Amino acid sequence: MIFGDVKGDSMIESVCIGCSIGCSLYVGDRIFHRKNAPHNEGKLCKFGMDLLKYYSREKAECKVDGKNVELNEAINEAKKRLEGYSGDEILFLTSCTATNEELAALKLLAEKFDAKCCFYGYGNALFSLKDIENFGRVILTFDPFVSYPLVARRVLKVKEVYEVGFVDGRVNSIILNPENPNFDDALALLDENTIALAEYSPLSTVYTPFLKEVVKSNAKAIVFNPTLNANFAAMLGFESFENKIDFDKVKAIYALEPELINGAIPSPELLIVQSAFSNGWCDKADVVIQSDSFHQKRGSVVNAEGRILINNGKSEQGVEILEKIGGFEQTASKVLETLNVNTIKEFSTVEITEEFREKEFKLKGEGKYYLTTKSNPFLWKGIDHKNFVELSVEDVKELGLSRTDRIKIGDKELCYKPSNIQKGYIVSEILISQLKGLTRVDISNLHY
Amino acid sequence: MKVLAWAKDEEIRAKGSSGGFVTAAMIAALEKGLVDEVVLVKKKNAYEGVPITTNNVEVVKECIGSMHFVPLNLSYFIKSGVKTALPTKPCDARAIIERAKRNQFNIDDVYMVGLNCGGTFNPVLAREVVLSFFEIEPETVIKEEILKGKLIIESKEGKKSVKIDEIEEEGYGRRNACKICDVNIPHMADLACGNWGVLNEKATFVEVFTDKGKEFFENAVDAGYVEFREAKKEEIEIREKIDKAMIKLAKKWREKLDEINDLDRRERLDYYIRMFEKCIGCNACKEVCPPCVCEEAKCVSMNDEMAGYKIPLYNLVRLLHLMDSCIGCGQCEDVCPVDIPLTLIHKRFSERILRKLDYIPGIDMRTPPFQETKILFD
Repeated sequence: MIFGDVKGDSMIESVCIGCSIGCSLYVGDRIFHRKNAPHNEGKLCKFGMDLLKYYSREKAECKVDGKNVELNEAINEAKKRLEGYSGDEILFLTSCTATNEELAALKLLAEKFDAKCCFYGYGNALFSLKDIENFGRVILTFDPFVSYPLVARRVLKVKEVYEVGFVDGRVNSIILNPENPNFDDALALLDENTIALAEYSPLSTVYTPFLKEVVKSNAKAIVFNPTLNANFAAMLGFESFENKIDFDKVKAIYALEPELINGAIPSPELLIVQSAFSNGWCDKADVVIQSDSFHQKRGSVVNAEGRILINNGKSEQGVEILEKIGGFEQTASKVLETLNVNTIKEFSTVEITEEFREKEFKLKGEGKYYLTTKSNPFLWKGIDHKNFVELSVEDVKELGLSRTDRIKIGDKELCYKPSNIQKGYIVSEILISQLKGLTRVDISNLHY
Repeated sequence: MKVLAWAKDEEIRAKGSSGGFVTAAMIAALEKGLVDEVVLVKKKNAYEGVPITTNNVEVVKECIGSMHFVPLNLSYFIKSGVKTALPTKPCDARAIIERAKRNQFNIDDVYMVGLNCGGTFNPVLAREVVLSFFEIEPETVIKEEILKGKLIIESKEGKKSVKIDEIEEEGYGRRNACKICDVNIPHMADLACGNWGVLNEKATFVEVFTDKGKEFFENAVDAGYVEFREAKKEEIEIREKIDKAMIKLAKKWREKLDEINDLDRRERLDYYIRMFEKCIGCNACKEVCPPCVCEEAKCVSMNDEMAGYKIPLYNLVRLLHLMDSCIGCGQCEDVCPVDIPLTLIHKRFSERILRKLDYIPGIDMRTPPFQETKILFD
């Protein structure tokens, strides 16, 4: 008898971390499509196809005060330095690119300190992507061909499709006046035969009043997040940090995989970062605890549909780190209790509804053009794979742009593409600035 | 050479979908050193399997049985310089031949153990079929098989069968690529195996096409893993009849699925624009395409969203490149996130010119005609 390697076993059943859809796939030497997954049927967007590039980025290194240390030393140091903080002085936060088990462990750790656990996102899961096809009308607050592309094939099967804010030749559009974004046209379409597909992200601020109306109406909604596991964080009762947290009062922060959290990185007296990859948060941290990258982890997640998905890696290091710091072992039971199940069954679903949180929206800047950002997983992960913005044909003519010209917005030089969008808008898939949502900018023609 | 063969090992014979010849012969090939490894699909459940390469016979035994709900193409898993045997549906065999032409491995190192194929199902739709046509909880399925035009599902409650025609009339059933495929017996492989022509016994109808196929078969017999007898005239005729019926059915589906046959030129162009403007540029169709072996592909480098063409250059380049190379496996359509009907589109683009050139991709080692022209000009 011959014994040998079963090499295919090195392919890990995993979940794409690009957004809250959480496409199932296999990760090995190459990305392999997992056609049996009911939510994505093996299909992936550009980010999913490029996932190996994301995982091959520079790894975080365990550090204490900038000096490289062993993992155990970083864990012990974190444990020691956290002592003495409690209540509102300390905050546990995450971007939710983490497993259910890690989020449950983070919650248990926060409870030890009587502290808040915060996340970015919004928990809502009552419908599957397939359910979208059964509605007569869809209202979108994002471009499904860019932002959550696995939604596009479902949307294309619906009779009436409206997009709020953007002009797109492929669907009907409802244009907004950003100076006075009342949603009368869109609101008139809300009935029981309508489903609104919305995004809750740092850049979707302008649409949250509309989303609030959807939640109050007879229409249904699915809310997508740029972070994978916001739904389970909502189930655990994590608090949103975008409106409520006063970072100036917080003395210590423990951040689990924080890199998707937009905006300025806070500078408390103690910053501990648990992260797989090197990023700006690690650079500022007093203690960096390196953990394995997502595809190596063993655990589950809850996607935008409320579907439980399994990541079948071998590493439980992320949970072990948190358990060691907190000195507890009840993570597994916390996950089961939160999901209200006895065992975790892949692809089964849970219902989640969180009280809707409206965000503040302010137009910023003085320029002539409204800068709007189309989000995509590359943008959230800090990898701008586009180097152009879209302008209306009228604006291209008005600016006297020829095909080879480049433009300047703020201090950024960019290419442009004439597109079927409303005059006076710039649509970008690049994080041009840290400004949130629509803003006002000027364009100059660089005449190359 | 046409024979009925079966595994000598009773357990393998009973578990195999038609007498366990393929499994027994694979084990013999490993144990006698005819091959270094085999590529197989390790079953996870009725709807999912993972391709594996192994030289462990115990693992080979675990991979026994057909998997019509697992539409994979195994050709990517063959390594250069490694003597490999693998079960090949006609589209696997055609993929292997096209990849061998493109120097991915030496075809002499590969034993293509062909499997007759009437088609595979999308696993997610297969679950719906099991639930709505068979009224069986999808997770309880133990085994499935296709026999005499029927899909047979075995669960804890017993066996149930439904005519595939009935399922397909309701818009379910086999993948579109399989519905229009007219190559059911893999005559381009080294040997072809299946249950067509087998009447009332647990055996595999085996037809040997090449010297390599003969070597593979004789190795299994000499090693004492396989027994066989000559196929009878009646059995051969039944097998041919099934093949002809499947080819006829494929023609019917080819006409039925063609959305643009009756359109004029302008309308057809509009159709192609409508289909390809959905493309999100994920490159998945290229990544899974067996004949597409370029690492730094021109089609990808031309996939510039700035260009603003109504049909992206990426898709146009692929349409041209695949005119003499598409083997119709449908892997591209399976993974397309916006459901572009790529199999049929590529078929439309290639079939007229290929008829003129008297060339079918993946059938033999002939250089694809457009590459031949290039060589002439070089």
